[in-house]
Amino acid sequence: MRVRVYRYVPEQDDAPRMQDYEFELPQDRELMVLDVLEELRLQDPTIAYRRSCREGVCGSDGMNMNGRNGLACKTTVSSIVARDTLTLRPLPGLPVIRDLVVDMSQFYAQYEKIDPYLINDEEPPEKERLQSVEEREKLDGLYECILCACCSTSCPSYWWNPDKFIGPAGLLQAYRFLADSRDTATSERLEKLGDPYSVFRCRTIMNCVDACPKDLNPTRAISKIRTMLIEDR
Amino acid sequence: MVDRYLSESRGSKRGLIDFIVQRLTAIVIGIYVIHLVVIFALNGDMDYAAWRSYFTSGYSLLLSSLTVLAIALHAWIGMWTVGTDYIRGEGIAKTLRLTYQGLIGVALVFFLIWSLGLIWGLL
Ligand code: SF4
Ligand code: SF4
Ligand code: FES
Repeated sequence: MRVRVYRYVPEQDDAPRMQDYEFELPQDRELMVLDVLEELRLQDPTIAYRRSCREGVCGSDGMNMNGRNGLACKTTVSSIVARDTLTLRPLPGLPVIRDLVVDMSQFYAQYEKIDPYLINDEEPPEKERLQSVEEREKLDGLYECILCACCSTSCPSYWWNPDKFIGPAGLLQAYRFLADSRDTATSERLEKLGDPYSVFRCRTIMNCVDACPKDLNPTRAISKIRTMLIEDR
Repeated sequence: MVDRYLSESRGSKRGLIDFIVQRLTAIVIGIYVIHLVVIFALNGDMDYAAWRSYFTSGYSLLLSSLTVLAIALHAWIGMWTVGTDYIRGEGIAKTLRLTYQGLIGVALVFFLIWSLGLIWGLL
C-alpha cells in the first residue's frame, strides 16, 4: 500500500507537499490508520501528528483520511483505502502548525462562546441537583462529544466563516446546555444565538453527521436550537 | 458567571428573522406556483380575454403583488447570505461586498417596481 502524507513546516517550507511511503499491510490482522502512522514514524521520525489515547476517547488524532474526516485510531485501513493508496491530510480549514497537526484555537474559541458550563442561579441544594430519568435522557447523544473537530472542519459553512459561525461541535454543546434541566440560563443562551451567523449559517448539509466518529448528530441539535429560538420569540 | 453572561452584548435577532421570512416567502411563492398550475389545468385553452380578466381580478392582483414582494425578499436574503459566505473580510473585500450588495439591492428594487407596474397595468 502507498501512504501519501501531507508534509508542511510553515517556518521552513514554501509550500505543503505530499510525501509517499511504501507500507506492507499485514495479512493476518486489521490495522487502524494510527497504527500505520506509528510504524511510518519508525521509518521517518519527522512526521508530526497528535495522538494520545489510541481508543477514540481523547479526540486528538482527528485528520482527513482519503478525503474523509475521522479519528485515525478508530478508522480501519480497509474501510477507507482506495486503489491501494491511503492519503493523510490535516483537518481541512484550520491553520497547519506542522504536517498533520493543526491549530485548534479558533475551534476552541467557538466552543468557549457558547458558555460550555452549567449556569444555575438558584440556591444550591445540600447534596446535588437531581434529574429525572427523562431529563437525563435528553443529554444522551450530546454529552459524548470529545471535541475532535472532525465535524466542524468538514462543514462548508465553517470553512467560509470560522470566526462567526459557531460550527457543529460548538452548537451541539450549546444544545447540550439548553437541554439540561439544571441550567437556568436558557433564554440568555438563546439571546446570543439569534444573529445571522452563530446558528443560522448552518445549511443542513449534514457533513457533520457523516464525519462524527462518535456517531453524534449535530444537525439535529442545530434544528432543535432553531426551534427553541422560534418558540422563544 | 451569570453576571458575565448577562452583561455581554446581546446578539441581534436578524438571523432568526431572516430564517422565518425566508420560509414564509417560500410558502407564498409555492402557493402562487400551485395556484397557477391549477388555473391552467382547469381552463384548458385560455384566450387573451380570459387571461386578461383573470389577471386583472382583484384577488389575482393582490396574490401576484404579494408573490413578487416575496420573491424580492427571498432573493435578497439568499443573495446577502451568499455574499457574506464568499466575500469575507475587511478592506477591499468589504468594498467589494458592499458593492455586490448594493447592485443586488438596486436590481431587486428595479425588479419589484417593474413587476408591480406590469401587474397593475401602469407600464
Ligand atoms: S448540517 Fe450545518 S453544521 Fe452540519 S455540516 Fe452542514 S452546515 Fe455544517
Ligand atoms: S460532534 Fe462528533 S465530530 Fe464533532 S467534535 Fe464532537 S465528537 Fe468530534
Ligand atoms: S488517539 Fe485519542 S481519539 Fe484517537
